[in-house]
Amino acid sequence: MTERTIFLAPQRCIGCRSCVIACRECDSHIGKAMLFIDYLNRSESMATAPALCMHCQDPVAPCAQVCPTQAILVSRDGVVQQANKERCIACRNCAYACPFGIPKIDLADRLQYKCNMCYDRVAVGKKPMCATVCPSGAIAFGTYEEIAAQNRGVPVNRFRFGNQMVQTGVYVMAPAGVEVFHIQQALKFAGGAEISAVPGIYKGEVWR
Amino acid sequence: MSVDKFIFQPEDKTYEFLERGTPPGGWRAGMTIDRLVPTHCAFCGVQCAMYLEVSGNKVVGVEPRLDHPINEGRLCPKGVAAYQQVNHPDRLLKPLIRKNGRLVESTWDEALDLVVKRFQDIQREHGKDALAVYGGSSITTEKAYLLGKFARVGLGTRYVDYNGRLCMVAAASANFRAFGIDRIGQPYADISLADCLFVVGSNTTETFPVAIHFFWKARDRGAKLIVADPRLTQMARTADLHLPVLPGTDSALLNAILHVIIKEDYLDREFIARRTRDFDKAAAAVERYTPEYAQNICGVPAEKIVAAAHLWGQSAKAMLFHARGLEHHTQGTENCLAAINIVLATGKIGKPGCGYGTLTGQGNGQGGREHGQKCDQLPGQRSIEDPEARKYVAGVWGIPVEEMPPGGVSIVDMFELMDKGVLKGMFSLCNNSLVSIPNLNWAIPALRKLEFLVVVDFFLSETAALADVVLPGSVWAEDEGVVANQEGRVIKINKAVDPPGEARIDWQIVCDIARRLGKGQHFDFSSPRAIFDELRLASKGGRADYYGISYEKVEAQKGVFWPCPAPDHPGTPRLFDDRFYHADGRAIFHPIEFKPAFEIPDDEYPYYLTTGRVVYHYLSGNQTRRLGFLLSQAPEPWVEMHPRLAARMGIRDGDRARVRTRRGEVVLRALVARTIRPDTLFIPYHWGPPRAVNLLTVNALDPLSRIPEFKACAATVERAEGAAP
Amino acid sequence: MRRLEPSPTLVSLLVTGVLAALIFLGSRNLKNFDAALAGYAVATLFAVLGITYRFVQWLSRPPTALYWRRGWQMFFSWRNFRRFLGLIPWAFLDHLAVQNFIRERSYYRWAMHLTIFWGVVLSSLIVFPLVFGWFNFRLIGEDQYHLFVFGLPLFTFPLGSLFAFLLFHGLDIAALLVVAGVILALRRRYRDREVMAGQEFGFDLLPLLLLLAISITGLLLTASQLFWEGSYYWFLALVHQVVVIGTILYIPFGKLFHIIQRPASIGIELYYAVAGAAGHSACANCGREFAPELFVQDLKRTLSDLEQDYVMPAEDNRWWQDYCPECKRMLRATAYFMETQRGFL
Repeated sequence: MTERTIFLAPQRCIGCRSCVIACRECDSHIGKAMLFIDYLNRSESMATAPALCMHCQDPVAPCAQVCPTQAILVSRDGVVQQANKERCIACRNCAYACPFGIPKIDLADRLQYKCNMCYDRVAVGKKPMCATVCPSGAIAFGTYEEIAAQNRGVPVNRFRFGNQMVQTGVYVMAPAGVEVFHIQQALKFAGGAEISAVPGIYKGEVWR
Repeated sequence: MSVDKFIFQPEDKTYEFLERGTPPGGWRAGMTIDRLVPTHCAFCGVQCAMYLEVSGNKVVGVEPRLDHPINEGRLCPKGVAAYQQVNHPDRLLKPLIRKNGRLVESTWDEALDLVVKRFQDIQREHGKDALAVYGGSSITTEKAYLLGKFARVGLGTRYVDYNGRLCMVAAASANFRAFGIDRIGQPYADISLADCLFVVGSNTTETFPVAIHFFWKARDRGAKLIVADPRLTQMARTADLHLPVLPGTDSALLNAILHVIIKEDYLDREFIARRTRDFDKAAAAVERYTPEYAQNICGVPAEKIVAAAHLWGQSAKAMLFHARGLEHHTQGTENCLAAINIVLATGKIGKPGCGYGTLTGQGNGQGGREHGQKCDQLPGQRSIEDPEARKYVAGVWGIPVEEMPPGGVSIVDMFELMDKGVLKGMFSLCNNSLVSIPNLNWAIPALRKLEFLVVVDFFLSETAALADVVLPGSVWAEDEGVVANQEGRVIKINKAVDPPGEARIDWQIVCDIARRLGKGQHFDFSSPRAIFDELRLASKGGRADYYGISYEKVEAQKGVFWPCPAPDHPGTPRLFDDRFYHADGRAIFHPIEFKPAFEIPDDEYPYYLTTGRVVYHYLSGNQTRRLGFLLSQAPEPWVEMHPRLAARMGIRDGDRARVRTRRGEVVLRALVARTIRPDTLFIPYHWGPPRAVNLLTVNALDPLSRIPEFKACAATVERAEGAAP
Repeated sequence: MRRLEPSPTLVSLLVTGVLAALIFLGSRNLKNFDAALAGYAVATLFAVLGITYRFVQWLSRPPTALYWRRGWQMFFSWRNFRRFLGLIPWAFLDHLAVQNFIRERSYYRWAMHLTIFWGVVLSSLIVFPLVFGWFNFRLIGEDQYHLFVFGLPLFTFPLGSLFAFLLFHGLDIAALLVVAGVILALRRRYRDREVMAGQEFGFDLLPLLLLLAISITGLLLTASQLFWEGSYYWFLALVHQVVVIGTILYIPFGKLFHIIQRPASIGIELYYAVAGAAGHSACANCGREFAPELFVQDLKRTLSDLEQDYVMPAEDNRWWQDYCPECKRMLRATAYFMETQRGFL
């Protein structure tokens, strides 16, 4: 991975979607927002979380691997690029294979778009748009050492989806001791169950 | 935001790129960027620094500005979208005159001649005070100053006020009473030094998103966060302690906290003795506000009140902030004073990491209220009743002191005067009454009674659409000048481009009218700098002393904190380090008794209705509702309610619900969520009739500050069968 | 279904052999073969060798192979043929001839790509049959040409006719189209920061420069013939030949390979029509239908072939891909909030 990468800290997220609109402003995105701020469950909580391309390292870019036209390239420094414009045929394999649910498809353009870590900005020493504007530090850009020193959490980049372990180029901040995020845990609360049953999403909650 | 993903969000985000709000000329990737103009945002009181990208004479984009200490590049969604106002297709390009009931385009000469003739006729017939000037705080300080002078010198009327009256004026009033000055006590950077942050009635995460990084930095150091709010806002969600206070009962909550603080002896007796007065009176007043007594009033469990007092009391460095939630009440000033009592009693002010302040809403919420746009003030936060101040300012303005009009009344009181037929004409700049005045079913007919209404705006606001003359003004990127942000830092807005079409810069319009009124010698300004130079002089020696500030100093220091009385003075970031601003240098405690809101729920209207903001919109929404991305995220207001309340009224998430008060009704989508008290309804206020929450609010005023009670009234809600979706 | 693993070497040799045979036959045992164009013909054979090799290799990738197989399966189904009769011709027109998807990206790029596309198509239609000796013309009498295709007489046309003009200047017209398109493309590549940030010389600029060089040297050949009495003709012809040969040999390796790949989008159109009609997969969490069921099954197969295993044993061996993208994000965030309940990070 590049020396500098993106670090996500969803607990800091205030859901303002500044990153989403700023994403459109990047010259290499021309008006298209390629990341998401999702409510976990608005009926229960204000909790939101940013989601952008995690730039998977191992297995390297599942989206690129499932692409029938080899349209998704991975740069030398590990940034998974958005689909190559002349190759992509909008088959949607990447959108639904991605374990993180990130790539978007423009059916009119017949083209996939996804976070490319603002390569036009990063190449000239700037930060990606989202990490530059994020008011809360929920999306940060820097070296591992820089971010680890600022934040009380530890950057973690391993996720387990069922049998599959995925190691990513983008980190999320975790409490000490957490080395892998097990997505399966969350499924216990899925299927329409209240996410708020998860202890800790609400602090000081009084009305149930 | 604060909206369910299933209400306003696209059904399938995998195929949705949120492209609404593409700039008229397309995205700028293919354009040559000629200039980067350093400036600050058009919107809220944080005043984030940004660069505007200019291609030719067009603002085509925004680039984060990393070198400014306010935001270091951070921007909220409004800040990112702000530039799209400049070339907006809705811009007014020609003056409009009402003819046969319709607004038609005209020439500037025709429009200005008509304004002057009608103003002169009205004043000849009904006296000078038949005209009113209504300003605002989202303009540069130069323009705000000019408007006050225009009212008092150009028109010679006593009736001038500004939209900050609907914003935070209760806090200003409390600050004057307690500290003798109206400004936040410390810069933003100090927030990060605190060990405990107590935020009362402020949805900071949505209203001042960029300010949040200072709060979060403090929390990175382990600082505790206490939030008092009827809603579980984004900020409250992460708080160590959330106090779900009932709307309109803040003074009971704050008194109870002070009660526990006294009981547990978290007092700073040395500070109280050396730097304050009247502690005993305040202490006696809170004597009966035990947590158990208060919990029955304010709906916060007693143990939480006690916990809050402990958190605050045990923190070496603590800071208290409040915003509209505390201020928009008939007891607004007293609510703020109750908060100040807590700060003073524990000595948590006037040293690094400690402090207190109101989070001012508007872009120039601070600067706009300092230089004579308020009905009771002259430039430099001087009282208009103070003979010395009258004499000094009359001297600066070159008018005999006898011609200086006396104090006027607040804007809501002015609507009362319109209703009674006392006011006949109004000149309005930088506000949108049809969205923002409480009880619109009363206010709109009052406004219609005016014989002549002139509105200066760059978009046709709801109010402008009612006007007799609409003059096309400038957006913020088309003029230069200073503003003072939330922390009292005077910063510089720079001009990027000229106004489009025949639109003119606001201060030129005002000066032109004054000239045509025969007052040209008082309005002979050639540039914003000339206005600023007069303003500096007019504020000299006042509390808000700008005399030592220059444009160059502002740019060089990246902002100057007033007071700055001399050219070699660096400015005053920390206001209360060694004194307060009453004559004796002491701060004053005020004994506060809880008083219920003007209207409290009963059988017929069993719930509290409170109002607030959405991160995507600013004030009356006249600007942000035109910016595609922002609108797409919050296209219409909604009514937020707890599932328990919803179940009782038979309402499901996403249903149309009719909210009624004694004054009116609106039909809105229901957002059913556990993030609000089960006895409270919430509606954001950025939209005009028929979806305006201000059709429901009450025009009851705080007797001390004349701020309306936007944040509490009695309401009921029902499922709107068959209402159009 | 196990897939065949055809050897790229064998297939490419076979295809090249067939083409060679066609050249031999089409030119009447090389009787109609223009020896001056031999270089082109040989280079084309090599390019075809390379392109086929690359094509077969490409098709052997699990996702491509699956779509390839599915595509033809669906295409050769009588049932589908009846249901989606108009789909293939429409998609052909929409995706390849008119290229509406590029217009959706921008009119500028549409104009740019269409001119290059039609210029190249037009020139290919003229050049390759000539090079292979499949077309040839014989003068009949004073002013009538007779066109022979594969050595068979087709029709005659007068020398001065519009058709003759278009035919003999077809390459010039094609060259002008290409030049216009390439200029638009180069302007964009030197102005638009969107493309500038990511472009590479070898991948993005070189093909444009090659096309430009072909067109210009081609036009100069005409100019030499018409206006300069044949000056430099030999030299220009050599340069032209070198550039053209370089370009066709470059096709398998660079950006121009999309010419071969792109028609696959017609297959995708058919795939989604057929698979979509058969029913959609509902998200295992929110229950909303998010993609055709067949597509999700195929995707799992592809992932298995790629040795990625998103099966969740504790969830009835459901796949993580049985969740819609939105729920994937939401569930991951929920898992995160569960782990970080201990506080502000």
